[in-house]
Amino acid sequence: MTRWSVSAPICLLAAVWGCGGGYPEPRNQLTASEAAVRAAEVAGAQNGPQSALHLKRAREQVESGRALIQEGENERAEWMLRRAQSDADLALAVATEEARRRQAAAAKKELDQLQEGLRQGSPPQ
Amino acid sequence: MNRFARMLLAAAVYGCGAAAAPQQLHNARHAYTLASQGPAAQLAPAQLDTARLAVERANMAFGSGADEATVKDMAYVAERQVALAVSAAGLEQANRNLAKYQEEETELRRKLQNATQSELARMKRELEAQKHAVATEHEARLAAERSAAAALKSLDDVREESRGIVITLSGAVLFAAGQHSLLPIAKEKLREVAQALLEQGDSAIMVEGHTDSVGPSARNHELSLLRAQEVRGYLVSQGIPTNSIQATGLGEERPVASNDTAEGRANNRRVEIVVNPKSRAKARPGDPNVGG
Repeated sequence: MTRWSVSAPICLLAAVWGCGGGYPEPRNQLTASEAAVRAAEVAGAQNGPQSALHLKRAREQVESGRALIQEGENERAEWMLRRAQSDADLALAVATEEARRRQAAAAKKELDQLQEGLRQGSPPQ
Repeated sequence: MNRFARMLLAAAVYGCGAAAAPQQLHNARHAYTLASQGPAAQLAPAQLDTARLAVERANMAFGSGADEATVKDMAYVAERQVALAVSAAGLEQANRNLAKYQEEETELRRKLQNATQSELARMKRELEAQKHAVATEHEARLAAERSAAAALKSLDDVREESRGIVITLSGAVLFAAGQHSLLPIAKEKLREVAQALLEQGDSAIMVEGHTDSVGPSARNHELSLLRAQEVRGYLVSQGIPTNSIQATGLGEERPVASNDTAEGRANNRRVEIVVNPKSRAKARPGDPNVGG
């Protein structure tokens, strides 16, 4: 698809919006973003350094999205809320990953201690 | 300028080849390139593909002349999609590591349990063998003691005193009058004694020579010592360890009967073998009456 052939549908959409009374409020995206933030919070994303950073950004972007809706900037609001959802999803993923890494490290430590105990001849716990 | 107009302007500028991609799009592309070359390609291919599509959408939006804010937003989301893929790969690796460590621990504990059970079984067998050996040894010792006691009882005069078991051999049986060489019958008797003493085990033995009161006392002393040493020498020749047997001459000092009668004097002429004598400690190495 050439650049102009891609631009043509976008122009057409813009024309349709012009006739239809503007961009709709992104209520579904707002709901999805808020749900993603709650899921990250439930997973403990606020407890890890990297996940907490993404959670913080997600919360801020949700607030920005709400403000943009209030201002009637619905399209900007939708993108802001998509950004919020992507950050919240990432916060959840990183929190889960960090928790599993800690779990694996604890298992490794336990394994090492068991092997060390056997080398030294002490009874296993 | 409204959004539509900005989009058209951006598309026109891009169409002329003058527009530069926003930094966010560069970041998303670079992040995807790195992720596709890392573990995510193997551990999270589906998530990485989703990220690829997100980057492509941002690229297409930029290429189609979408406004910069939209391209930046799409690039931002695409970069998060790449990060999600990388995190999914990290999660998968952690899952694999966790499963591996847990499996290794389970296997190690299983081996340990088997080894412990095997060790317990071995210790039990050893304990049983030791108990059996102790019981056997105890039985053998009892049998030896019974045999030794029977052997001692078969001798002429064996009695137990506070100083130990005392075997009394008549001087008339052992020696000719005034002599200290053993008679043939005496050797036969002493062989029995030696056998009984050997069966008795590791004991301290004192051979005491005694005489009646006839004749000079000094001569009696000397004779009693010589006779005791003769008996000791014969017992040693029969296997009694030299360091466990001593000889002493007591002359006429300890009569067991009256020296006024022939029968009494005969009883006083004797050799006594004291087994495990408690008085042994009193026998000093320098004592002229004692011979080792």
